[in-house]
Amino acid sequence: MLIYALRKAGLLLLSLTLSSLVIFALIEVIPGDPAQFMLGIGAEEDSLAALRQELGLDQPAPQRYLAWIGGMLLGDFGLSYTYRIPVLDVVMERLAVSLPLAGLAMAMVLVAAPVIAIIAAWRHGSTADHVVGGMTQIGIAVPNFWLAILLIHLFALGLGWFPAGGFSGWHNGSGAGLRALFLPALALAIPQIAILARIMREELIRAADQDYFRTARAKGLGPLEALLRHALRNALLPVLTIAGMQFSFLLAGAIIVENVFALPGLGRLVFQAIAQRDLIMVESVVMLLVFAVVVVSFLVELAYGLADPRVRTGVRPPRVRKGP
Amino acid sequence: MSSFNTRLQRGGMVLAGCLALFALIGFFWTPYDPAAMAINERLNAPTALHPFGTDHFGRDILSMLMAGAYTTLAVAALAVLIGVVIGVPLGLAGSARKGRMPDEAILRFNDLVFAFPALLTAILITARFGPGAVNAMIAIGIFNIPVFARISRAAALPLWQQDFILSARLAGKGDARIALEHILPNIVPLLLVQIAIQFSIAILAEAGLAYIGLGVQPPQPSWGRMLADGQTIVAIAPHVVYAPGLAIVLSVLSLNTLAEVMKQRFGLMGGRG
Amino acid sequence: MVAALTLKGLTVTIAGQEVLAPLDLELARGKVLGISGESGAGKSMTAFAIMGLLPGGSVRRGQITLDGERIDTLSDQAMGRVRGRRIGMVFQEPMTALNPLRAIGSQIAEVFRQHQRINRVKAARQADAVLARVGLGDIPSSRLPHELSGGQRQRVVIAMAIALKPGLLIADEATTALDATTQLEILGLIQRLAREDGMAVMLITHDLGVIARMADDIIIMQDGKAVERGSVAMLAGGLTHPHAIALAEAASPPAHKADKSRAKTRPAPPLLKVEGLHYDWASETQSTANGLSGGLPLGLPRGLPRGLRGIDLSIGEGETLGLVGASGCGKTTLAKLLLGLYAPDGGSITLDGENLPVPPRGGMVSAVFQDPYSSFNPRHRILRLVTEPFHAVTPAPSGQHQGDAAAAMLERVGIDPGMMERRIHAASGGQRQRIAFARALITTPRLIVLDEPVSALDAPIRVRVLAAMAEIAREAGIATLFISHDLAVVRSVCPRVMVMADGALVEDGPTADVFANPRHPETARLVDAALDWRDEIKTRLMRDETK
Repeated sequence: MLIYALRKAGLLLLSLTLSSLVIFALIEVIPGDPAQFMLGIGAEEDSLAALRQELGLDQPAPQRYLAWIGGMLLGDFGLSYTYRIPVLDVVMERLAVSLPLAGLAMAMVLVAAPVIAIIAAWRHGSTADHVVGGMTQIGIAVPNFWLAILLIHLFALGLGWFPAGGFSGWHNGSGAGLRALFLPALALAIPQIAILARIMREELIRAADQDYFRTARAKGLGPLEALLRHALRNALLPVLTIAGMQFSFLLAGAIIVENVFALPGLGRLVFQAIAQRDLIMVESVVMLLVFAVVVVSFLVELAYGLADPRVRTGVRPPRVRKGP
Repeated sequence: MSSFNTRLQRGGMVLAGCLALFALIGFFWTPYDPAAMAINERLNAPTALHPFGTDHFGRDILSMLMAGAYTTLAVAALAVLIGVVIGVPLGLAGSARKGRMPDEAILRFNDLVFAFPALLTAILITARFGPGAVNAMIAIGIFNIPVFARISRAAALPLWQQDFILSARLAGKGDARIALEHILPNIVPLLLVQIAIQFSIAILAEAGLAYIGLGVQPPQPSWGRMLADGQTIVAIAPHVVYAPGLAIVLSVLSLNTLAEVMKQRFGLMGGRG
Repeated sequence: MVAALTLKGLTVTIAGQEVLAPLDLELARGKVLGISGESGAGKSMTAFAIMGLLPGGSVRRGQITLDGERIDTLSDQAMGRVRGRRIGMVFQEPMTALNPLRAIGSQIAEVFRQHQRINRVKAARQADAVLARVGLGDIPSSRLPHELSGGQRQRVVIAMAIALKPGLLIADEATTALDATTQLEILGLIQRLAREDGMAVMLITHDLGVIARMADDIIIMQDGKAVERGSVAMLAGGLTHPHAIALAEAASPPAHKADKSRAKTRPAPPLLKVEGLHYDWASETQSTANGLSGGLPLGLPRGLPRGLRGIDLSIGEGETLGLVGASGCGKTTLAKLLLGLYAPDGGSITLDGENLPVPPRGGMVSAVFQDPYSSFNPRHRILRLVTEPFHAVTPAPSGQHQGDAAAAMLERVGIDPGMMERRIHAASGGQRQRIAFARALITTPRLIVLDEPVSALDAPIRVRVLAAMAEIAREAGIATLFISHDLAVVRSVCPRVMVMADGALVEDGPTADVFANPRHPETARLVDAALDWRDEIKTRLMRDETK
């Protein structure tokens, strides 16, 4: 297991290094003057020179890259060009919104999807299964920002149960904060619930078609018992991978949904930074988001190794071959 | 049960056909000029003259939808094409030499691209080169490359273990020839299904990018843009967000149904039956 | 005494079609009933019908009585209390019958926890006791299935089935996937457990050798009907139904009669010569490497030979040579070397005095592989499949010539050339192997390697396909290397045989001599483990007489 973990950790470092190189290259190395881009066409020559100095554009690229990475490792993400305050301070403030939002949405997904999937797989082929199939098919097709608009229309403007947007901070009590985050989290979660429930249902049905599931039934286990004890864990393995990838969808989705609800989160920050052409901010925040995606997929692979003994010992599952 | 499925599938196919027709007509002809503003016709509810009503500039929503369909479908189709043209050969090359170069390098490249959700790629590209339909297409296309590389590699790997590959080797055929003659034809069904799925995801992504202003720029009409414009006035005129939203849902739904139909036709369904 | 199991008019219909015709049978405690027949004859269907585990959409009718109690009327929930407690079942595939993610001890303990209200610790202790009973006393119960060998896994499956000492044990092809030696051990285990617990055993297998060794009574099925039934002794001359007779004849074909006039007087000049051939497993895993381990074949069980070493052999012009050995001994690796698919690490292979080209060229050596279902690209037409070997021939013959050759070859192996425009899914398993043989013949090779070419086929078809292949090769004067684990099949077509063990050739000589008087312990083991129903019945009848 240790070797497996070390190997995965090595790949994690490789991925992070490569992504940082890509981001850096795209923002700072590709031909074109970043300073000119940030200030626009009509910029004064001396303010351009000042910005070039601040960005360190007079130094060679490798040196700038190392300074950028070194700074981030030490917690120095640079100075926002728009706000003139350290990027890290802004980011921390915004994370207080984005992290609970992603967490709440992920929790909704991880609770709802398995329940729906188990019911559908257990009653495979029944009306309940078909209803679930239709609902999840629609759930996948709904864009989360449209869903967000509809939810605002119905629950905020219509029924008045939740605020229509904005976030007044956690100092007013966690209840108010959670109320403000509920609709955005729901808009983020519903399409992902639909995706995960569909995949998990298919995996459960696949696991229930295996020989060992038949063995369990021959031992005297009922259909639901056998499903929970002998198909669930086996079906969870592929689901784990999907759930890991969903985190990055949630992250990306949050950028859009935070804009619908005007939530002061990381996504909205990036979006504003683009509008203000604050490349320093964009560069560092995108790196942070990529870091989150890569680390989560690393953790998923570790969990995979823990859950499936065959993975860490390098033994592949046997290929099934039908006998005569 | 089966008739229920069949009817559902037939519905999906018809829907997909209508959508394509809708976009095609919209390319040549729309009832009104989708960009023509008419201040005294603002926010009209659906009428016989404007079946889906008008927006806050008095533009005809049906005309905007038809013109927008073409933009959305073109961006999505080209994005998928980028993924297929680059991803499939990479996946095939990797599967032929599992665990060695270039397979390892391709796997690492896949990991790298997976670290950037389409939206982050789009943000990076637009942050540096400005927003636009082409940049959105490239961003979504880059995201599609590892998807197709991964699926064609995974589908090809077991095929290399089949005895008919041994027969081909006995006939003196090399890796490239075998990949082309024996592997590719056998993964085409799976690829078609994936193309339909990625197409639907690309439509969602394009709409999302257009919605936050990183995709198609006005005055070019687009479904995502229409939703962004309509969002602020949803309380007084909900019809402005119903039509474009439903257009997105129906097109994604029809493509996913198409994928399901193909899965069943090609016998790619998992589980029993 | 009440019979352990009684069936009265048991039928199964799927989608209105009767897949099991009314079946009556009675099975007493302590007795073994063997059910045999070709695949699709309804053997397994009978087992699943008794267990109440038929696939969805099937309808079961008729009476099933277990120890005097009707169980066909029970609800699925009530059947749950019967399954595992009063009926145990063992399945064919030991590799997939166990949940790969759970320790073997906990999977056995689950049986106790399911049917008795006992705590975890007690159940675990009982599981350990059962493991000891099936001969796995020295294996920790915390082991996971993938850490065990196939035979050990099957012992675990049996342990689960007999944990609660059920009155009836159903074994569905329980030893089919195992190699001959392990099969013998597992059969012995079932016999011992049945005797100790006084269990009735329903033994479902296509292998009449197994039935002749184990069963008291026998039922032979065809198309869902029991066409022959009676005491097992009826195998020795008492069969009346033509299908049953054909099945029995095919399962034990007559030995090859050496053609003395030719073979003895003038030994054929050598065609293929192999000298001091070495090959390392590691080289093979490089070419089919697995991304995770990247070097050593971690997927292979421990204790396998490290490769082929010091192989010397020669095959004469037009000779039919047999090659036998336990699974994993290196037979297929040797075949791939002789075909030029792998490059040897040492030694030489010459064909007609010239070095064998690697990768293959010229179409001088061809092959038929084991699996009729993976041997053909499902997307190509049969014409294209059969003419593919012409790729190796320079200059390539014209399309017209290729088509004519394909038609001629198909005709020769007994396939209607009209099939050429169709795809392979139109052909049955037996037809596929004939088409594979046509493909092997089309470049008029000097040597054809037949790697288990008929072992995936049912016995009667197996014999017909084999006879056709042998005859065509002899007429055309093509040498064949026939690889098989089935001694009866080898005996019926090969005048000469070689035995392989742990990557080395250990015996070589006339087939009858080698099998009758084995000189190497591995040969003796193979001969002992091979179950031929004629021998088994003879032994049992003799034993009964002496009693």
